[in-house]
Amino acid sequence: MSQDPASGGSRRSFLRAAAAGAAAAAAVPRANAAAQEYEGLAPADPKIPDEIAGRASAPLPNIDFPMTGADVFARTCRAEGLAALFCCPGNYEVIHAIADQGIPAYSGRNEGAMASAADAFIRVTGEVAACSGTEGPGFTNMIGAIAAANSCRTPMLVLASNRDLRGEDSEQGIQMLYQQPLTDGIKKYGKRLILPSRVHEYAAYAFRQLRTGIPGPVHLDFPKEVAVARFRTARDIAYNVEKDRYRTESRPGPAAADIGKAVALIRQAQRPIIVSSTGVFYSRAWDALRAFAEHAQIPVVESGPTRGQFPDNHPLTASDAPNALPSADLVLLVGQYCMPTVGEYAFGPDARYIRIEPEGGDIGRNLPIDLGIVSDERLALEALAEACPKLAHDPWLNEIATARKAFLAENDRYYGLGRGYTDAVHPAVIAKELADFLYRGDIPPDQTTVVSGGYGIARYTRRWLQANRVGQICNGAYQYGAIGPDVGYAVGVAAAVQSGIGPQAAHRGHPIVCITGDAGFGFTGMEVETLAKYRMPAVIIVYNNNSWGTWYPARNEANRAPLHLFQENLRYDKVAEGLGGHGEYVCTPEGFRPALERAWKVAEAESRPTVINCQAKKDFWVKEAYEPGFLGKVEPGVMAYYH
Amino acid sequence: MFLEFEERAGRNGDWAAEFRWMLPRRLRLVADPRQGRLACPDLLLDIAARSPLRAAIEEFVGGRHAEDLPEHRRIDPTRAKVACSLRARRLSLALQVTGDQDWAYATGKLVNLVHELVLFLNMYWTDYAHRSLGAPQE
Repeated sequence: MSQDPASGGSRRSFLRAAAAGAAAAAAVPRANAAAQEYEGLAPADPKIPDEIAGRASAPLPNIDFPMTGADVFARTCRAEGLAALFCCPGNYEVIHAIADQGIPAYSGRNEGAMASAADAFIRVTGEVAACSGTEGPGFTNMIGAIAAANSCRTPMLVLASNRDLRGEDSEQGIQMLYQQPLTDGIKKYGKRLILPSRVHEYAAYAFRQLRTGIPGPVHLDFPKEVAVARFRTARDIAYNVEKDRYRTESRPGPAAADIGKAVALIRQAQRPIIVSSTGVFYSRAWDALRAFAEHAQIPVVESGPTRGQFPDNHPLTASDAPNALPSADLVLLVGQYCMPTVGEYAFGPDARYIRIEPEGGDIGRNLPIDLGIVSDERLALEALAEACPKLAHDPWLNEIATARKAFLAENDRYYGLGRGYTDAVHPAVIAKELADFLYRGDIPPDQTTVVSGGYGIARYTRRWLQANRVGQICNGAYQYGAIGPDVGYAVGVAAAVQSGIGPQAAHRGHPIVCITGDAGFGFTGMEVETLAKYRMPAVIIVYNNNSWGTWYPARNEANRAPLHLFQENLRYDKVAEGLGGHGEYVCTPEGFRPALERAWKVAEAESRPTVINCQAKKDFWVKEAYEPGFLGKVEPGVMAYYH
Repeated sequence: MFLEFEERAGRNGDWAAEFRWMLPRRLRLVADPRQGRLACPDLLLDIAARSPLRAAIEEFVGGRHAEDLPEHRRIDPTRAKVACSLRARRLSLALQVTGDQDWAYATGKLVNLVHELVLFLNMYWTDYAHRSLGAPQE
């Protein structure tokens, strides 16, 4: 046996000693932490920096000529009423210039999450907001969120810096990327600014696209030469005209003949229905919609990335009557920008279709129409209310009421089943008890804005959630179907409600709710820190079933199932506590409601976010073992998110 | 609504059509006037004979005659009677055209029944809808 002079002993004893030493070294940090905790040196609690806490009272600089290109751009944003900026550091000249204009600016932990925040902010306010990331990796982090905003038709201003034009194609330094091709197909308009003197002109281009027609993301990237260019006077800026000269507020109105044809179709129909979608929100047509629906006694079902333009508690709602939808014989699709294909909506093969939206280029795509009307949605609905006689559809409305009753009875049955599973928290328990808390308790039913996220959990919660006023539900990732942006969305929604923007004005400062899954939390969960540092009261419900929701079809395949699993019993609530929030861990059905009440108290009293980590089972998706299993859906209506 | 629609008339007076609609593969409708039968053969694939799914489908289909359904959703059994059949894990729907021999009525009802059956499966049998009807998993 060889001798090791270092230990004075054998190689075997040396190896044993080395292993013991390594274990001792690994134990040192834990021992130190324990020593800190138990010897009065407890780690400090998360603290909000004074600069963030006091930002509202920070004086704004006086921005005047000589100005940089970034300042000129930011000045145009302020004149256009840009409502907020969501970013991570990078694109410094532009984001600093926007903040210096007094536009509310929020910085988070990931550019993608912040772009999602901008998307959600816009979706619950109707106001234009911006997201920003640095060139290269900051920008590419935003691609998923931009794609989601595109499917939602969100008028989101995407800003990114770019390296200087002098170093084009050279890979000089770091982070070079030619950006515009990467947003082909997921934006409405985009431009890489080249000539500094045209910066205002291109800002005008951007806002023209953001504020007219069918909305969508607009992507501008700023080479350094543009951002830092200096303009001595206004004369140095090309096309330096005010907004009432570089764009119009005029909207297209419906042709009288088209309204006449629509009224004729409505009068022939026995079971007409209106699908109120994205365009009703952005054209602010909710009052016109309600007036027309009530005048003609036509029921309304919602679709789209934002819900609440027609209240779920209105007598004419059909959003929670899925069984009735196949009976409709005339469907008025109002502002349905993200268009389903044949068979994706529940309307039967005999239904006739009228489509109303402000651009003709999309009318007739995917679904054959019986009448297309090119018009701003509000103007069309006003014209219809004017031209259509008062009508009655009592048998049809009775059929819808019967279908609603059946749907609600089915919900009750699911809750009964879920409540019976006592060793974990079933999604039906979360859905119903959350709905009871938000709509049937002390909180006014139109108060709480909700991010309806998650995947499998959302198949349950959507059945119970209500949108009783404009912008009350941000409908998750919508047609893009991404897992994970939900906590990012919560930042945007919370910012909107905190400031009382647009339809959120009457509910300013109230807590919001975000529903997500454990898979989703993994993507944007760090934004709990963002919510905490900006003192945004949010209750985040994490449906924790130890897996991706995609596990159950692969569950019997030994080589496939592991790809869909996480460790069990993970503590997302403790993550929240470490990030300055509050955490609750719920393991039984009777624990959910008390945890929700505690979380609400924290939100109201301390303006802090809470994560309620609901411990579920992945097996709840298996119908044979845990009825009713993974739920399907019908669209349009409360369950809809594809279109 | 029906894409790639093709029809053919048979020698014995029967008629068939194929088209794409609702499912990831082509649907067939076959009319046999001599037997008074309108069928959608092999509508659903991979259905086990003794399975809760088969029982649920048969209950759903049989329920289309229920008197509490609205007239526009109900199949009047005095005009057409619906039945399922299963062979080699392939489920077919058929309407026996009775009463006033209204083939237009029967055709409309069969097509609407296919529509509602697919909605039913997408709603309550998500595993099957994903495996066999092309429904996205998400």
